[in-house]
Amino acid sequence: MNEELDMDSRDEARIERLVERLDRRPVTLRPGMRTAVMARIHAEPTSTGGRVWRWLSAPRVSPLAVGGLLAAAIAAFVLLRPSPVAPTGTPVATPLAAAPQTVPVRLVFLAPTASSVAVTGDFASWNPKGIPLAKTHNDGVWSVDLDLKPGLHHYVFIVDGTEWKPDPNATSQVDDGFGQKNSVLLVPQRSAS
Amino acid sequence: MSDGRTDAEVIARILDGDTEQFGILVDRYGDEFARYATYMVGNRDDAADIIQDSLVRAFRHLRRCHDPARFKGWFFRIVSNQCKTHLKRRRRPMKPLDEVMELPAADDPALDAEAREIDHRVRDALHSLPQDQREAFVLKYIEGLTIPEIAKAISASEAALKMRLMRARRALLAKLDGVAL
Repeated sequence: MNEELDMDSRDEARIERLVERLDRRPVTLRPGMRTAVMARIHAEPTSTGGRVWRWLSAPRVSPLAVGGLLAAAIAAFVLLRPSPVAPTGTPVATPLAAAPQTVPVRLVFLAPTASSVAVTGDFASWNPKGIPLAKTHNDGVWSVDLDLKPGLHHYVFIVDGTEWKPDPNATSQVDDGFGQKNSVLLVPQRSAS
Repeated sequence: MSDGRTDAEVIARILDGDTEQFGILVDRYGDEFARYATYMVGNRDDAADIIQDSLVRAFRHLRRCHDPARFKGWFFRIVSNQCKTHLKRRRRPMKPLDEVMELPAADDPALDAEAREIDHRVRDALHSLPQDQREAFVLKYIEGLTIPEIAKAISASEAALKMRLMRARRALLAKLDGVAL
């Protein structure tokens, strides 16, 4: 079925004449557009995200990621009674140790055939290269330990450097405003224990 | 003004911290979707605000432009989303397109009163279309994009897009029934 062919030639001709009556000349909105946009950009607060990104992207090896201790992490996850927003088994926001301003969290992604996995998000200034995950075993599990500020974070995984994928285990996904989905991670405040 | 560098090269410089380079993208795309935005929101001032906001938003989220070589399509999606957000929030009625587009002067001898009246009715008919149909029609017939290009730009299937276009065209023909186009 071709809906476009449903119109007869007389209607097609009327549409053509109709279109000819519409103004298709280029529109110039404001001559000072560049000045206005650049002024607003200059007024943007200095990116703390850039500093966070540089810190996060510095090569660091998580002892938990190296030792094949995913099970230990899951055990810790259970023992520490995760925050109510982290459902059982969801590899997100696992508090592992006390920290005054940030919370250690582990992100885990299953990608058996991937040659590389990274994560990017607001905590990484959405850097397209992302923060690399380490392959913990040969079972396709990738993970990375991060120190994140308490609060909501949006993120996606980057598979093989090009494919942006939301976390299937995230508690929720939100539209990113650009036609794709971001995963949502709620990092809880650490209790003073 | 033409800068020989590709969008990807310019974006790489911006992401390295040279924010002034964003001015090149403003020059390239500041007016690229001005006509589309004007037809969508029906108001040149609002369209200018939308384009400006979209450019600032593009700068803020530039790291999320997965494929810098296709910045134009990514930026269009921002503009499109901003137009839709604007239309949802709009409280005042849309202005007639006569006030939106820069029409020939009233004493233009090339246009007689009857032709003006027909043009006015055509623009009114287009403006009365539902937003999704108007967008599809404008992109196809005003901006001259192909069906696959539009489908990709607005993240719709080609089948859904053709349906919107068909409905738009039928609605326009119905509204202009009896008008000597």
